[in-house]
Amino acid sequence: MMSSTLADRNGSSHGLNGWLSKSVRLFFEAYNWEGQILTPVAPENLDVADILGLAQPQTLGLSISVSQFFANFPWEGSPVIAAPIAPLEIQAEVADESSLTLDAFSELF
Amino acid sequence: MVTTADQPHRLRQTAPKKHNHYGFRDFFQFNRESGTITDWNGSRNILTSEDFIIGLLEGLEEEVGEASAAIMYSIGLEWGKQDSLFFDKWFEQEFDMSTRRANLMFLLETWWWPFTSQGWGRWEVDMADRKQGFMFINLFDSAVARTLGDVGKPVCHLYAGLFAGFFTEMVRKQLSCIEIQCYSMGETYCKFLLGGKERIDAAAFWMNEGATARDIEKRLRSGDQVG
Repeated sequence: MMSSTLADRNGSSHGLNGWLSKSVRLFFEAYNWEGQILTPVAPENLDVADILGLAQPQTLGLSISVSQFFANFPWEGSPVIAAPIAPLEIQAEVADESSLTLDAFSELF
Repeated sequence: MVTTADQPHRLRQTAPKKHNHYGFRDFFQFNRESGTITDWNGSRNILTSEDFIIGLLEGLEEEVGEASAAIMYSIGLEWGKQDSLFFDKWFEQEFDMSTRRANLMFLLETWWWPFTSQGWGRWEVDMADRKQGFMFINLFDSAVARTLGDVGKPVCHLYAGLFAGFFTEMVRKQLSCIEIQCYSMGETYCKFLLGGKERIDAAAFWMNEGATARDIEKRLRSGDQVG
Protein backbone atom coordinates (compact mmCIF):
# COMPACT_ATOMS: atom_id res chain seq x y z
CA MET A 1 0.00 0.00 0.00
CA MET A 2 1.41 3.41 -0.97
CA SER A 3 2.09 5.74 1.90
CA SER A 4 0.68 9.23 1.61
CA THR A 5 3.15 10.79 4.02
CA LEU A 6 6.35 12.45 2.95
CA ALA A 7 9.76 12.19 4.49
CA ASP A 8 10.90 15.23 6.46
CA ARG A 9 13.29 17.55 4.67
CA ASN A 10 16.07 19.62 6.06
CA GLY A 11 15.60 23.33 5.85
CA SER A 12 12.46 24.95 4.53
CA SER A 13 9.81 22.48 3.51
CA HIS A 14 6.84 24.80 3.31
CA GLY A 15 6.91 24.79 -0.47
CA LEU A 16 6.81 21.02 -0.89
CA ASN A 17 4.10 20.50 1.70
CA GLY A 18 2.32 23.69 0.55
CA TRP A 19 0.99 22.23 -2.69
CA LEU A 20 -0.30 19.13 -0.99
CA SER A 21 -2.46 21.15 1.30
CA LYS A 22 -3.97 23.23 -1.51
CA SER A 23 -7.36 22.59 -2.97
CA VAL A 24 -7.48 21.40 -6.60
CA ARG A 25 -8.69 24.83 -7.63
CA LEU A 26 -5.83 26.66 -5.93
CA PHE A 27 -3.35 24.15 -7.29
CA PHE A 28 -4.30 24.81 -10.89
CA GLU A 29 -4.75 28.54 -10.35
CA ALA A 30 -1.07 28.80 -9.51
CA TYR A 31 -0.01 27.86 -13.04
CA ASN A 32 1.12 30.61 -15.38
CA TRP A 33 -1.66 29.83 -17.85
CA GLU A 34 -1.49 33.18 -19.59
CA GLY A 35 2.27 33.24 -20.00
CA GLN A 36 2.79 36.36 -17.92
CA ILE A 37 6.39 37.38 -17.41
CA LEU A 38 7.55 36.14 -14.03
CA THR A 39 9.92 38.08 -11.80
CA PRO A 40 13.22 36.21 -12.04
CA VAL A 41 14.31 34.77 -8.70
CA ALA A 42 17.91 34.00 -7.79
CA PRO A 43 18.50 30.23 -7.84
CA GLU A 44 19.48 30.07 -4.18
CA ASN A 45 16.09 31.49 -3.25
CA LEU A 46 14.05 29.00 -5.23
CA ASP A 47 12.40 26.11 -3.45
CA VAL A 48 10.90 22.99 -4.99
CA ALA A 49 7.53 24.63 -5.39
CA ASP A 50 9.07 27.51 -7.31
CA ILE A 51 11.00 25.15 -9.57
CA LEU A 52 7.90 23.09 -10.24
CA GLY A 53 6.01 26.29 -11.02
CA LEU A 54 3.60 25.74 -8.20
CA ALA A 55 4.25 28.93 -6.31
CA GLN A 56 2.01 31.91 -6.84
CA PRO A 57 3.32 33.62 -9.99
CA GLN A 58 4.57 37.16 -9.69
CA THR A 59 4.43 39.56 -12.57
CA LEU A 60 7.07 41.99 -13.69
CA GLY A 61 4.42 44.64 -13.47
CA LEU A 62 4.44 48.11 -14.86
CA SER A 63 3.72 49.61 -11.46
CA ILE A 64 7.20 48.96 -10.09
CA SER A 65 9.95 51.54 -10.43
CA VAL A 66 12.31 51.50 -13.38
CA SER A 67 15.25 50.62 -11.15
CA GLN A 68 13.34 47.71 -9.62
CA PHE A 69 12.24 46.51 -13.05
CA PHE A 70 15.74 46.42 -14.47
CA ALA A 71 17.25 45.15 -11.24
CA ASN A 72 15.21 41.97 -11.67
CA PHE A 73 17.05 40.98 -14.81
CA PRO A 74 19.87 38.44 -14.31
CA TRP A 75 22.42 40.66 -16.05
CA GLU A 76 25.46 38.78 -14.73
CA GLY A 77 24.41 35.16 -14.80
CA SER A 78 22.40 32.79 -16.96
CA PRO A 79 18.67 33.45 -17.11
CA VAL A 80 16.46 31.75 -14.52
CA ILE A 81 13.83 30.81 -17.06
CA ALA A 82 14.68 28.66 -20.05
CA ALA A 83 15.64 30.58 -23.13
CA PRO A 84 12.95 30.20 -25.76
CA ILE A 85 13.81 28.12 -28.80
CA ALA A 86 14.26 30.47 -31.72
CA PRO A 87 11.48 29.72 -34.22
CA LEU A 88 13.76 29.74 -37.24
CA GLU A 89 11.44 27.60 -39.31
CA ILE A 90 8.46 29.82 -38.61
CA GLN A 91 10.41 32.89 -39.65
CA ALA A 92 11.37 31.17 -42.86
CA GLU A 93 7.67 30.43 -43.41
CA VAL A 94 6.78 34.07 -42.90
CA ALA A 95 9.50 35.12 -45.32
CA ASP A 96 8.18 32.63 -47.88
CA GLU A 97 4.61 33.85 -47.60
CA SER A 98 5.60 37.48 -47.82
CA SER A 99 7.60 36.97 -51.00
CA LEU A 100 5.18 34.56 -52.69
CA THR A 101 4.02 35.29 -56.21
CA LEU A 102 0.94 34.00 -57.96
CA ASP A 103 2.91 31.51 -60.05
CA ALA A 104 4.64 30.04 -57.00
CA PHE A 105 1.31 29.92 -55.19
CA SER A 106 -0.30 28.12 -58.12
CA GLU A 107 2.29 25.35 -57.92
CA LEU A 108 1.06 24.42 -54.46
CA PHE A 109 -2.34 23.20 -55.63
CA MET B 1 -22.31 45.61 -56.41
CA VAL B 2 -22.46 45.01 -60.16
CA THR B 3 -19.57 45.14 -62.56
CA THR B 4 -20.62 46.98 -65.67
CA ALA B 5 -18.43 49.74 -67.06
CA ASP B 6 -20.18 53.10 -67.09
CA GLN B 7 -19.05 56.70 -66.84
CA PRO B 8 -15.33 57.32 -66.39
CA HIS B 9 -14.13 58.11 -62.91
CA ARG B 10 -13.16 61.77 -62.94
CA LEU B 11 -10.72 61.67 -60.01
CA ARG B 12 -8.94 58.77 -61.60
CA GLN B 13 -8.65 60.61 -64.84
CA THR B 14 -7.10 63.65 -63.15
CA ALA B 15 -4.92 61.72 -60.68
CA PRO B 16 -4.39 58.24 -62.13
CA LYS B 17 -1.49 57.43 -59.80
CA LYS B 18 -3.42 58.20 -56.66
CA HIS B 19 -3.23 54.65 -55.33
CA ASN B 20 -4.51 55.75 -51.95
CA HIS B 21 -8.00 56.30 -53.22
CA TYR B 22 -9.57 54.74 -50.18
CA GLY B 23 -11.90 57.52 -49.11
CA PHE B 24 -15.58 56.87 -49.69
CA ARG B 25 -15.90 59.84 -52.06
CA ASP B 26 -12.59 59.04 -53.74
CA PHE B 27 -13.45 55.45 -54.55
CA PHE B 28 -17.12 55.98 -55.43
CA GLN B 29 -18.20 58.64 -57.87
CA PHE B 30 -21.82 59.66 -57.56
CA ASN B 31 -23.12 60.78 -60.96
CA ARG B 32 -26.12 62.87 -60.06
CA GLU B 33 -27.14 63.62 -63.64
CA SER B 34 -27.48 59.97 -64.58
CA GLY B 35 -28.23 58.60 -61.13
CA THR B 36 -25.36 56.14 -61.35
CA ILE B 37 -22.43 55.29 -59.14
CA THR B 38 -19.04 54.50 -60.69
CA ASP B 39 -16.07 53.22 -58.74
CA TRP B 40 -12.38 53.86 -59.27
CA ASN B 41 -12.00 50.73 -61.39
CA GLY B 42 -14.76 51.73 -63.78
CA SER B 43 -17.46 49.45 -62.40
CA ARG B 44 -20.99 50.58 -62.03
CA ASN B 45 -22.25 50.07 -58.49
CA ILE B 46 -25.73 49.82 -57.06
CA LEU B 47 -26.72 50.50 -53.49
CA THR B 48 -29.06 47.90 -52.06
CA SER B 49 -30.49 47.15 -48.68
CA GLU B 50 -30.70 43.91 -46.75
CA ASP B 51 -34.15 43.42 -48.24
CA PHE B 52 -32.50 42.70 -51.54
CA ILE B 53 -30.40 39.92 -50.05
CA ILE B 54 -33.37 38.47 -48.19
CA GLY B 55 -35.55 38.66 -51.29
CA LEU B 56 -32.94 36.99 -53.44
CA LEU B 57 -32.18 34.15 -51.07
CA GLU B 58 -35.62 33.45 -49.74
CA GLY B 59 -37.19 33.81 -53.14
CA LEU B 60 -34.73 31.32 -54.55
CA GLU B 61 -35.31 28.93 -51.69
CA GLU B 62 -39.04 29.11 -52.29
CA GLU B 63 -38.53 28.22 -55.94
CA VAL B 64 -35.94 25.46 -55.73
CA GLY B 65 -35.72 24.50 -52.05
CA GLU B 66 -32.37 23.15 -50.89
CA ALA B 67 -30.90 23.53 -54.35
CA SER B 68 -30.70 27.27 -53.62
CA ALA B 69 -27.32 26.70 -51.93
CA ALA B 70 -25.90 25.09 -55.06
CA ILE B 71 -27.36 27.83 -57.24
CA MET B 72 -25.88 30.59 -55.10
CA TYR B 73 -22.53 28.80 -55.24
CA SER B 74 -22.77 28.61 -59.04
CA ILE B 75 -23.63 32.30 -59.25
CA GLY B 76 -20.64 33.10 -57.06
CA LEU B 77 -18.41 30.81 -59.15
CA GLU B 78 -19.25 32.62 -62.37
CA TRP B 79 -18.93 35.98 -60.64
CA GLY B 80 -15.48 35.05 -59.33
CA LYS B 81 -14.32 33.94 -62.76
CA GLN B 82 -15.56 37.09 -64.47
CA ASP B 83 -14.20 39.29 -61.73
CA SER B 84 -10.75 37.75 -61.98
CA LEU B 85 -10.59 38.75 -65.65
CA PHE B 86 -11.76 42.24 -64.77
CA PHE B 87 -9.28 42.38 -61.90
CA ASP B 88 -6.43 41.29 -64.16
CA LYS B 89 -7.04 44.34 -66.33
CA TRP B 90 -7.53 46.97 -63.64
CA PHE B 91 -4.64 45.75 -61.54
CA GLU B 92 -2.28 46.07 -64.47
CA GLN B 93 -3.72 49.47 -65.30
CA GLU B 94 -3.30 50.65 -61.73
CA PHE B 95 0.18 49.35 -61.00
CA ASP B 96 1.75 48.88 -64.48
CA MET B 97 2.47 45.32 -63.50
CA SER B 98 1.03 41.95 -64.42
CA THR B 99 -0.83 40.11 -61.68
CA ARG B 100 1.49 37.17 -62.20
CA ARG B 101 4.53 39.19 -61.17
CA ALA B 102 3.03 40.86 -58.13
CA ASN B 103 3.54 39.88 -54.53
CA LEU B 104 0.71 37.49 -53.74
CA MET B 105 -0.51 39.01 -50.49
CA PHE B 106 -0.47 42.46 -52.00
CA LEU B 107 -2.38 41.13 -54.99
CA LEU B 108 -5.04 39.46 -52.89
CA GLU B 109 -5.55 42.41 -50.59
CA THR B 110 -5.81 44.69 -53.62
CA TRP B 111 -8.47 42.42 -55.11
CA TRP B 112 -10.52 42.21 -51.96
CA TRP B 113 -10.31 45.80 -50.82
CA PRO B 114 -13.05 47.05 -53.21
CA PHE B 115 -15.29 44.29 -51.90
CA THR B 116 -14.78 45.58 -48.38
CA SER B 117 -15.59 49.11 -49.48
CA GLN B 118 -18.74 47.84 -51.16
CA GLY B 119 -19.91 46.23 -47.91
CA TRP B 120 -19.11 42.58 -48.55
CA GLY B 121 -17.05 42.33 -45.36
CA ARG B 122 -13.41 42.14 -44.34
CA TRP B 123 -11.34 39.07 -44.90
CA GLU B 124 -8.18 37.39 -43.75
CA VAL B 125 -6.34 34.87 -45.86
CA ASP B 126 -4.71 32.03 -43.95
CA MET B 127 -2.08 30.38 -46.10
CA ALA B 128 -0.32 28.48 -43.34
CA ASP B 129 -1.33 25.18 -44.98
CA ARG B 130 -0.66 26.14 -48.57
CA LYS B 131 2.09 23.54 -48.89
CA GLN B 132 -0.53 20.89 -48.26
CA GLY B 133 -2.62 22.30 -51.07
CA PHE B 134 -5.37 24.08 -49.20
CA MET B 135 -5.96 27.37 -47.48
CA PHE B 136 -8.53 29.05 -45.30
CA ILE B 137 -10.25 32.37 -45.73
CA ASN B 138 -11.81 34.06 -42.74
CA LEU B 139 -14.60 36.49 -43.45
CA PHE B 140 -15.84 39.11 -41.03
CA ASP B 141 -19.17 40.90 -41.42
CA SER B 142 -20.52 38.75 -44.22
CA ALA B 143 -23.32 40.72 -45.87
CA VAL B 144 -25.37 37.56 -46.32
CA ALA B 145 -24.86 36.08 -42.88
CA ARG B 146 -25.48 39.27 -40.95
CA THR B 147 -28.62 39.86 -42.96
CA LEU B 148 -30.06 36.42 -42.35
CA GLY B 149 -28.89 36.18 -38.76
CA ASP B 150 -28.56 32.93 -36.86
CA VAL B 151 -30.40 30.34 -38.92
CA GLY B 152 -28.37 27.35 -37.81
CA LYS B 153 -26.68 26.56 -41.11
CA PRO B 154 -24.00 28.05 -43.41
CA VAL B 155 -25.47 30.61 -45.78
CA CYS B 156 -22.51 32.24 -47.51
CA HIS B 157 -22.58 30.02 -50.59
CA LEU B 158 -22.27 33.06 -52.83
CA TYR B 159 -18.93 33.87 -51.19
CA ALA B 160 -17.74 30.27 -51.41
CA GLY B 161 -18.45 30.33 -55.14
CA LEU B 162 -16.80 33.71 -55.50
CA PHE B 163 -13.59 32.50 -53.89
CA ALA B 164 -13.62 29.27 -55.88
CA GLY B 165 -14.16 31.11 -59.16
CA PHE B 166 -11.57 33.78 -58.52
CA PHE B 167 -8.83 31.48 -57.27
CA THR B 168 -9.52 28.92 -60.00
CA GLU B 169 -8.75 31.59 -62.59
CA MET B 170 -5.77 32.95 -60.70
CA VAL B 171 -4.22 29.58 -59.97
CA ARG B 172 -5.31 28.12 -63.34
CA LYS B 173 -6.45 24.94 -61.68
CA GLN B 174 -9.92 23.76 -60.79
CA LEU B 175 -10.49 24.69 -57.17
CA SER B 176 -13.52 24.42 -54.96
CA CYS B 177 -14.51 26.16 -51.80
CA ILE B 178 -16.80 25.38 -48.92
CA GLU B 179 -17.90 27.34 -45.91
CA ILE B 180 -17.03 25.36 -42.80
CA GLN B 181 -18.06 27.91 -40.21
CA CYS B 182 -20.64 30.63 -40.45
CA TYR B 183 -21.92 33.63 -38.51
CA SER B 184 -25.37 32.26 -39.25
CA MET B 185 -24.49 29.22 -37.18
CA GLY B 186 -23.77 31.35 -34.15
CA GLU B 187 -20.05 31.77 -34.79
CA THR B 188 -18.33 35.15 -34.62
CA TYR B 189 -17.02 34.97 -38.18
CA CYS B 190 -17.23 32.84 -41.30
CA LYS B 191 -14.51 30.46 -42.38
CA PHE B 192 -13.97 28.99 -45.81
CA LEU B 193 -11.79 26.15 -46.99
CA LEU B 194 -10.32 26.46 -50.48
CA GLY B 195 -8.62 23.61 -52.26
CA GLY B 196 -8.96 20.83 -54.79
CA LYS B 197 -12.33 19.21 -55.36
CA GLU B 198 -11.47 16.00 -53.50
CA ARG B 199 -10.44 17.84 -50.40
CA ILE B 200 -13.54 20.01 -50.43
CA ASP B 201 -15.75 16.97 -50.96
CA ALA B 202 -14.05 15.35 -47.97
CA ALA B 203 -14.71 18.42 -45.86
CA ALA B 204 -18.36 18.46 -47.00
CA PHE B 205 -18.70 14.84 -45.97
CA TRP B 206 -17.22 15.51 -42.54
CA MET B 207 -19.51 18.48 -42.08
CA ASN B 208 -22.52 16.32 -42.86
CA GLU B 209 -21.29 13.91 -40.23
CA GLY B 210 -21.30 16.74 -37.72
CA ALA B 211 -17.65 17.80 -37.73
CA THR B 212 -16.90 21.35 -36.61
CA ALA B 213 -14.53 23.72 -38.39
CA ARG B 214 -11.88 22.85 -35.86
CA ASP B 215 -12.35 19.11 -36.49
CA ILE B 216 -12.02 19.67 -40.20
CA GLU B 217 -8.86 21.74 -39.78
CA LYS B 218 -7.34 19.03 -37.63
CA ARG B 219 -8.20 16.28 -40.07
CA LEU B 220 -6.85 18.16 -43.04
CA ARG B 221 -3.62 18.99 -41.31
CA SER B 222 -3.14 15.38 -40.30
CA GLY B 223 -3.74 14.28 -43.88
CA ASP B 224 -7.04 12.50 -43.32
CA GLN B 225 -8.89 11.36 -46.42
CA VAL B 226 -12.40 10.07 -46.83
CA GLY B 227 -12.76 6.32 -47.39
